[in-house]
Formats: sequence, structure tokens, C-alpha cells
Amino acid sequence: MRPNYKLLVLLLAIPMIACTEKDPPASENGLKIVFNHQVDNEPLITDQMIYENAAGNHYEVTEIMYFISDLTLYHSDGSVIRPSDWEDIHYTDTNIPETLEWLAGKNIPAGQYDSLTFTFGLSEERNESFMYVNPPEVNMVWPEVLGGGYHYLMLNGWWEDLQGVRQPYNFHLGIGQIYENNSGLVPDITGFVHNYFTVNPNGGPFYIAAEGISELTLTMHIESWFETPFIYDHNQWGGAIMQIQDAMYIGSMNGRDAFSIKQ
Amino acid sequence: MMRDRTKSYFGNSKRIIRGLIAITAAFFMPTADVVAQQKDSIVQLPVFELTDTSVYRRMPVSVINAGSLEQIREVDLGEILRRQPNVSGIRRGGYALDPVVRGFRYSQISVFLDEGIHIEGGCPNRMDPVLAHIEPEQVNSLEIVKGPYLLQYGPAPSASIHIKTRPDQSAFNRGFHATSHTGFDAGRNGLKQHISLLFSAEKAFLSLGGGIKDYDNYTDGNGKEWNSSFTKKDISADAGFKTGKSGFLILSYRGSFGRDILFPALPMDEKKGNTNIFSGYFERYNPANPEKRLTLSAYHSKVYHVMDNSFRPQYNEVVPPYNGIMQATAIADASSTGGRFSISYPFKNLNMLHGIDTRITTKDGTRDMRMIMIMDGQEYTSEKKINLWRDALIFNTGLFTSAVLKKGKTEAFLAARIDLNHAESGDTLIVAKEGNLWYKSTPVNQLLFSISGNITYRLTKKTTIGVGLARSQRTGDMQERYIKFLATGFDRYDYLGNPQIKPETNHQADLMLTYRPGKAQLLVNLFISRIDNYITGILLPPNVARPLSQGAPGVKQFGNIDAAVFTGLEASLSWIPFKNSNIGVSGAYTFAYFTKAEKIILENNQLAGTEIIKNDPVPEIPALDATMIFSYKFRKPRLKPQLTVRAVAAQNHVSISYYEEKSPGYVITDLALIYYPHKLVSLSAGVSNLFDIAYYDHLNRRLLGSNEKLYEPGRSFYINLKIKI
Repeated sequence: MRPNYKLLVLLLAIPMIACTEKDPPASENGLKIVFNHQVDNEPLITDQMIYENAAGNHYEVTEIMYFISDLTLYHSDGSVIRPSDWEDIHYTDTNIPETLEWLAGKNIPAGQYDSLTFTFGLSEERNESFMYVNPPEVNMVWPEVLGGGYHYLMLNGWWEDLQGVRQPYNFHLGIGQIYENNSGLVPDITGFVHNYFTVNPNGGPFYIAAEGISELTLTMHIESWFETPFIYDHNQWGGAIMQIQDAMYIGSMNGRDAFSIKQ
Repeated sequence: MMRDRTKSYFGNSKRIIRGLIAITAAFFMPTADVVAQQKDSIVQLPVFELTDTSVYRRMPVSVINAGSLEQIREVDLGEILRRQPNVSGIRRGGYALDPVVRGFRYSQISVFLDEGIHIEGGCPNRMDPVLAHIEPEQVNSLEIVKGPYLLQYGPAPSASIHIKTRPDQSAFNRGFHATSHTGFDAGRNGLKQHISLLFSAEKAFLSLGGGIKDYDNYTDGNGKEWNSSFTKKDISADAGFKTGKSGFLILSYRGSFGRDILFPALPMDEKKGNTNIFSGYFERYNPANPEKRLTLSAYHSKVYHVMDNSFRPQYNEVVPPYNGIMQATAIADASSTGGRFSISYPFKNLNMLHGIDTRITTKDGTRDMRMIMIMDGQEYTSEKKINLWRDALIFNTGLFTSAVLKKGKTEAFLAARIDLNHAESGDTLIVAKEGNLWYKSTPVNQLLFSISGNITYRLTKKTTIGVGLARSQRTGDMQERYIKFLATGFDRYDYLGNPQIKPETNHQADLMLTYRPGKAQLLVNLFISRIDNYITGILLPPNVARPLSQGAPGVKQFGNIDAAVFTGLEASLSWIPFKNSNIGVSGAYTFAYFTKAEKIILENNQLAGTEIIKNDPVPEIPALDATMIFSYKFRKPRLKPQLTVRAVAAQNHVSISYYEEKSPGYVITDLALIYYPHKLVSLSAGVSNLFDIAYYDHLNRRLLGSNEKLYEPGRSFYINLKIKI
């Protein structure tokens, strides 16, 4: 029997005319958080010595970088929602406009929410060294010998010291160290302190719509890092505090009321 | 830090002069009749020779003989194979192209030596695909079977590349022979030298070989230099013994040693690659009936691979936007150990073959990352070591059988194999998130069943038609099962293995037509293949896993997706328009798509949504290409000029879900001259990329940290000399 190879050719050729198609996306909602930075309820102006903190230090801000994580939403019906099924750690950098918006989650139950909380920085179990290998997050690395992981906060700028000299400050928060005899020397480290903390920002309630992206503005009140409950004095702590646990403790206490939300 | 390839003017000159003296001397040797250098090819296909036996008419197969390998510029088997229709290669640097056959790649292609010697490459970035462990000078022939038809040497998922390196029975009783291959590639200031010796008596032979290759960076058609230098050394030995009148034993060793092999498209370079392959082969046959035979073979191959980023600037200095020095080193140990037993015999009209083979593959590797930063005036070093693999093991045992039938105008071939595959790893890593278990290594056993059949029928004296049907399975390989956070795939993502990955199943059909009207031959091969449970990378949310490789935007985990369909054709025409001339034209095209793929839509590296794409093209499919070769043989002097033109179309059929980019087409012209001044000497010289075209192939990877594709070498003059005594 002579094989019908024309038919075989035809059968082989049929798949070559398959057309690429897209299924229409399903409707969904989401929550976007927009980050805002203020000093004394005015938008932050960087690189100008125009601010004065509660300790009377004149200071300016160059840049702010920080992580927030474990965002949790509290629905008015009593349910607790963790919206971040994709990325639950967000890096914010005043030098990088794209980081000032965070699509925190999708397909979130619609309705009224009483409040939200988040971890400022990274909890102990989440703060793993080499978790980030790419800029900008990798540049937040916290030295391994000082506890490892990443900075929670880099708030960098300048202040005028008691002699009126402009001095740099690196108000950095991360894992603190306990030194034998308070020596401040790496070989004398006897323990570490995780300085992350939970923030329940002022403001609210807020609403998440059933469709589309709902926006929420999260504002950092920078002056608050230097007051309530403790007055922070740059002249006392100096420009670098990553090896001064007492200074970072003040920062971690002051930061709890440094945020507010507004819809 | 850039590799310091700068050599003194005199150092370079001496090497060039030495090469030129040797080559020029050969030109002045008395011209003599030459017989030995030209292989007994029956049909000359474009570029390489096809040995047209009935076996190969039944399967979609190409065969490359050693004679062809000696005359070309390329020194990398992956690059050499790329000249075949519908065979392409993934370029990551100047060496070790990773073959792609009909769009199939990596473990979809079974690459093995001789009677099923397998090599497990050490590099998780695939700096050392299997072909990179063998030098062209060690090869007797290469067979590329385009489909899951060759089931007698282990599972053959979607294609097989069979590299024959071992001397056969003809090595006995040949006396003493010495062969020298010398070559110089002006475009890369590359010199190669290989020497092999054969001492042969009636009952024993000893064959020894060794060579070196030292190649600098190449420059593309735009004049841009690419960090692509490499150095390789190889050594081999075969000892054969007759065991009675009807049997022989051959013990073999192959060694390959790479140093400082640069890969600009990868985050690291190969510092050291040591490959050692030990094997033994025993054959006993019936002198009265040579088709009745028994074979027994065993092997052990071991690969030690070290890579780091010490040739990159960030190893020694702070490179913005990083604010620290970033150092990385990875070391991998891999081995493959196996054996094969087969018996073959005629039975009525059939030639039967039955056997069993086994393979144990092991892999272990670590990565060391260091970050050195200055903070508050102090230098801090952070270091982390992680396992790439930890005591990973895959144990595969298979039974195979095949039968060949020749009756009248019909020839048929049927093969089947069944495999038991066991995989385990000493990993302690567990990736779990909110009740979902993403990675946990537990031992897995899988049963694979493969079957293939081919039938050819002679319609007329000039026309033959053949049909092939096959179903073949493969399990996940070491990468797909156990790799941890390294960029291994087509894109820049880090990949995570999946110990529970399901086997991939290929169903394939081929239709082959041969037409021989007088002094021409036309071959057409159409194929279609449907891969169920296609193994590919699926993006993981960052809150499940984050990348560990610099530049990786996220982590993908190997997984199965419903199906991929591959279809296309190869066609070639060989024609002798007038005496001593030959024109060869070939073309190939593959069209491949996923029946359904999910596209992740990211905005500012944040999940903005997903989209289902139907019939989305499979990424990294070679574009339509065609090659034309014209050659003419002069009798006196014995000279053969050859012109090759290769045209590759733009690849616009690109994957939407993988964000694949389109590639432009190109046309490349090569000119070669093969000269036989003496029966012991052959000389080939030429220029590749004659018009210095700046181009890149669709499968070439991007330069790390940019969207720029790795370009191919520009114009390059080369010369090869072979002396055989």
C-alpha cells in the first residue's frame, strides 16, 4: 500500500499555525502604600540646615533608607489580613522614587479597616545575611561581626556641633551589640540585641475597594526619631551609632510613633 | 579584575613565527597523490559528511567525521555542531557552547561517549556542558540523532549526541603512527597543538595523545573585544588487547583540563576544570557470524570545577551601585559511574539487541560569598557559605531491546527501554511558607518507559519515505531537582530545584523523504513533538525565596507545565553540477510553543498581575537558517576551495511570558582552502566571517548586567596543519 504522505505533511503542518492569544485578566483589587517624609508636618527638604530637633541640634537630612515588613491589616469585621502574598518586605529609599510606592497586596477583602501594623526593620527570624545580593537593598547590609543581616534604617545627614561645626551623622538602626566592660571593641562582644519594633501608625480608619487599587499614604515624621519618649542629642551620641546600643535603643523607642497613615 | 592576557610583543611573535614556519614548510613539501585524507563519504552534505547507511536513513541523524573536524577554525565541539541544520548553541563566552537540537537543550539531549559513557558537568551555570569535556582531536565521529530514537545507551529524551572517541578493532596490527594537528586563529591569537601516537601489534595496541589550546579574547565585527579567553589541555590513552581470536578489550583514559575560561554572560568565570574519564570495553563476537556479539563496558567520569569572579572588577574594588567589594567562589565535584552489557544476534529476518545499563551520578558543591565594606571608617567582611548540591545522587538502571527488520523494500527498527530512576540528596534545606512546602528533599523513585519505531519504504529506485514514531521519558536532572539559588537558565533568575519534579514525556513523529535523481540528493525531514509535563522555571514570590546571585531579579523553581509543542523541518540538497564540484544547500526551522503559559507582570519589581498566554512561543528557539556551500576539487595541485554562506532570519517568534527579546537576522560568509601537498600532510586555511559582520545569534546570552547580547567573533584568519606518519 502506498502511504498517504500528503496527509502526514498536512498533519505535521497544522501545529505551525497556532496563534498566540492572551486571556483577559480577571478583575482584582489591591492596596498601594505611598511613602511620604515630613519634618514638623512639612514635606522633607533635603540637604539644607533648616531643621532643629528637641535637643536643640540644628540638622539637615541627606537621605533616608529603611525596611518595613510584616504588614498586617485589621478589618472592621475583626479579621486580620496579611496582604503581602508576593513581597512582604519593602525597602524605601528617598533617592529612588520607585521605592516610594509599594503595591502591598492584591485580592484583599474589601471594606473598612480600623488600623494596620508593620515591623520597622526586620524581625530576628527574617533578618538573614545575604538575603539581598542586589542594589539597592544589598547596600543596607549590617556587618556580620556586629550581628549580621541588614540595617533597619539609615537616616543620614549633618548637624551643627557645639562649636558650630557641620558634622555628619549616620543615624543607623540594626542589630545592637553588648560589649564586655562597654569597650566597644568587636572581640569583646558578648551578645546581640534585635532592635526591630512594631509600629501602629496614627490615623485611620481606611477603606479598600472591591475593585481597583486603593491608596494609602504612610508618612514618616522625621523629627519624631529625636523625641518622645527620649530626647536624642547628636552632640551626646556622635555621628556613628551602629556600635552604640544605648543610642539605637533610643531610636527604636522613638520610632514607634514616627509614622501616620492617611487615605 | 580583568584577566591579564597581555603578553610581550616578542612572546607573541615567537609563537606566531613558530606556527607560521611549520605551516609554510608544509606548503613547500613535494605535492603527491593523496588518498588517505579524504574520508569515504558517499554523500556530501553542507559542511559535513553524511555516512549514508541504511541505519541512518531510518533515523533523523547527522554524522560528523574526524576528517571534517580537522579542517575548520572552531575548537569547541559545541560551536562545531552549530553548523548542522537545526542544531544551535547557547553562547555564554568564547568556549563551551551549549548545544540546542531542534529547540531542545540541556538534559533533553542525551550526550554520551562511546558505549554510553556519561559525564556530569560540574558547573551549575553550565560553563562546562558535556561537549566541553572532550576535545575535537579526541573524536572519531559524532552522531546527532534528532529525536528520542536512540534508546540503547540510556534514556534519550528528545535528541542524542553520540561522540565516538575509542579506537575500534581496526587499531590492531597497524604498526606505528604519529599524527600532529597544529592550528592558529589570528582573530583570537589562538594556538592549538595536538599530538597522538599509535603503537600497534597483532594482539595489542597503545594509543597516546595530548594537546594544548591557548586562546585570547575575540573581537566582534564592531571592533569590541569580549573577555572570552581560555586555556585547555587534554591527554588521552587507550590500550587494546586481543583476547583470543574473537574478542578484544580496550582500556581508555581521557583527561581535559581547563584554566581561566572567561564567560562575560555569567556572574563568574571558570578558574579550574579538571575532567578525568576512565573506561573499559570488552567485546566478543562469533567469527563465523559477526552480528552475533556480546559487549561489556564500564566507566567512571569525574569532574572538578572551580569558578569565581576574580576576573571581574567587583572582586577587588567597589563598583557602584554596590558600596562593597563582592567576592564569590563556587566549587563543585561531580561524577558519573556506570556500566552496560549487551548481546546481539540475528533471528530469522531480524537483528536483535538486548541489554542492561546502569548509571550512578553524584554531585556536591558549595558557594562562598564575601562582602567587604567600609562603615564608619572600619572594614567589615561578611561571608556566607551555602550548598549548591549536597551529596546529591541519581541512580538509573535500564533494560533495553531493539530489533531491525530488512525485508524487500522495507526496513524497520523498533526499540524500547524501561528505566528505574532513584534520586536522593543530603540537603537539609526546607523552603516552606504559610503551609506550602516549596522545597524538601526526600528520596524519589520513578519508572520510565520509552519506545521508538522507524520504518522506511523504497517507493521507487530514487525515492524513499520513512516514518518515525517515539515516546520517551526523562526525569529531572541534578539542576532541576537539587540546585539551590544559582542562575542556570535562559534568563537571569536564580533557580531552585524541585526534588518532586515529574518526568517529562516526549511524543514525537518524523517524516523523512529522500530523493536521488542522478547527481543530486534531496533530503526532507518534517517533525512534530509534544512534550507533556515540560520542565521549566516558574517564578517564586520573593517572600518565599530571594536570589543569591548578583543581578538575579528573583528566584524561579523548576516545575512542570502542561505541554510544549515543537514542530519544524530540515531540508538539504546536495548537487554535483559539474565534475569535481559540489553545491550543498540546507535549511531548518523549528516552531515551538507552550499550550498555556503564565506571564507574571511586574512593575518596579512588584507583582502587578498575571496573564495567561495561550500558544506562547518557547524561549530560546533558533531562528530559520539556511546554509549554502560551494566547493571545487582541483586535481593538480590537490586543492579544494570552499565558499560557505550562512543566512539566519530574524527571530520574531519570541516568548511573551518570558519577556524574550527579538533578534535580527544575519548573513555570514566563510572562505576556506584545503590543500594536500603530500600524502602525509594536509593544510587548511581560510577566513571566517569574511565581511567582518557584527552579529549575534538569538541564543547568545546577554552580557552580565546589561541588555547587550554577546556578539559573535568578527573576521578571523586561520590555518590548520595536519601531519600524519
